[in-house]
Amino acid sequence: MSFMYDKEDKQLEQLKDILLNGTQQDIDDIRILLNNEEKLAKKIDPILEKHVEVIRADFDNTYGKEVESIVVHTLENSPELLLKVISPMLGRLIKKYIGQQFQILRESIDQSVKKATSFGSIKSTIKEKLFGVKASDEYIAEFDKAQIAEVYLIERNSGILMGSFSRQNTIDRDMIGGMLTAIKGFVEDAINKGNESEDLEMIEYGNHKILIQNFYTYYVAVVISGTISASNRSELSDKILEFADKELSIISQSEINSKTSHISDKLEDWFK
Amino acid sequence: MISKKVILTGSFGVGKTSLFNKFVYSKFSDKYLTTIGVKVNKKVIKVGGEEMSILLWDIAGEVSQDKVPVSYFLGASGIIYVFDLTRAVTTKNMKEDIEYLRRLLPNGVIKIVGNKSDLVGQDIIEKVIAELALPCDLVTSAKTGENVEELFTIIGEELLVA
Repeated sequence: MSFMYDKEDKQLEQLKDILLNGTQQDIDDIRILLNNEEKLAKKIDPILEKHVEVIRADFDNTYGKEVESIVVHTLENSPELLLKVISPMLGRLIKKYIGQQFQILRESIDQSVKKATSFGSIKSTIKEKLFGVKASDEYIAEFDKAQIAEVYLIERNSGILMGSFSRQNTIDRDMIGGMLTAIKGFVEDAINKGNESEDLEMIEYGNHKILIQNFYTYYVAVVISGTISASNRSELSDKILEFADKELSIISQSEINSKTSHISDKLEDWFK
Repeated sequence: MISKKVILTGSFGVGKTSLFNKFVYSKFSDKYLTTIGVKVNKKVIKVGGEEMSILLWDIAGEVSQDKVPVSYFLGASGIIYVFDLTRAVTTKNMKEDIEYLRRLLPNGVIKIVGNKSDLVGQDIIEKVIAELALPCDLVTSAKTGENVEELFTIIGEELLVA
């Protein structure tokens, strides 16, 4: 009887070996793979990398709306976070504005003092009394010496020219747009530290200045010949803002790219 | 007219400026003058019956691409990564460089180009290409003009559909 059981056990054992041999080997292999971090990483990393690439390539379409809603929700629920994000930028803008206003004030005081005490002022007063020529007209004529020589509207990242206006024949304007962007990018990359991002706003050479006004997707570069006072500069800045608001805010980026000549005409109308 | 920004980049002395000059001015010089910063120029090419203005940025060579100011790459539609077929060292960081550039421009057209084919034989060219970490798209010679126009036509065609 015992012999019969032994025989059955042996046969069962053999059957188990036949059925589970391959499977057991696979299980052992998987166990080794799971316990060996390096081997596991070798298998999984390419799959994960591929997956990350797919997500990255189509991130905007897949998750854009969700991310936007999370950001909006977070900012709405946490005004202090919003303040934390925008306050450095606001600080810089306020600092810049105050600096500009101080310069205008200083220039105005200097001019008033100079005007009241100078020989020219006395001469102008006599001239005004005798011939009716107003001194203010003469001062305005003096300011007129600063002249807009060229205006460029340039796509901020690529440096592609979106429109331009120039009083004289100049070298290829597309090239100017590219080189200005390269110089601007170089200076901003070289000088900006950490999260403190600031924009290049002026390049000066000889009697010329290139004033740069930065917007989110583009910037306006105005080449000025002659001396420009802080108040004139402020007026020009307002004019650029007005131009951007009236002429560029209603058309999309793709339209801007396809309407270079139209924008050039507008620039001429505004800045000639 | 469509305008596209294309970057010429790679290690120093690989012939980026020579390719730039050959393409824009149809000129070649044996003199080596290192590029300082960046040089920008443009050329209008005809692709698919349309005119395309290529704004070409010739960037100063760097051993590794993460040393190039990031702003130079922003807004680019295409990148030509040039290596020197005669100097294996210029291919050393190719894989990392291309991965870095792809991260910066996920939708940009990137072409890997082996330059100075006039200085080596076909057998050497095949050997160099076989040993690269990534496939080489085109072999060029700024000196003889081999494949220079073709390179920009290929890029232009790909940019047109991108």
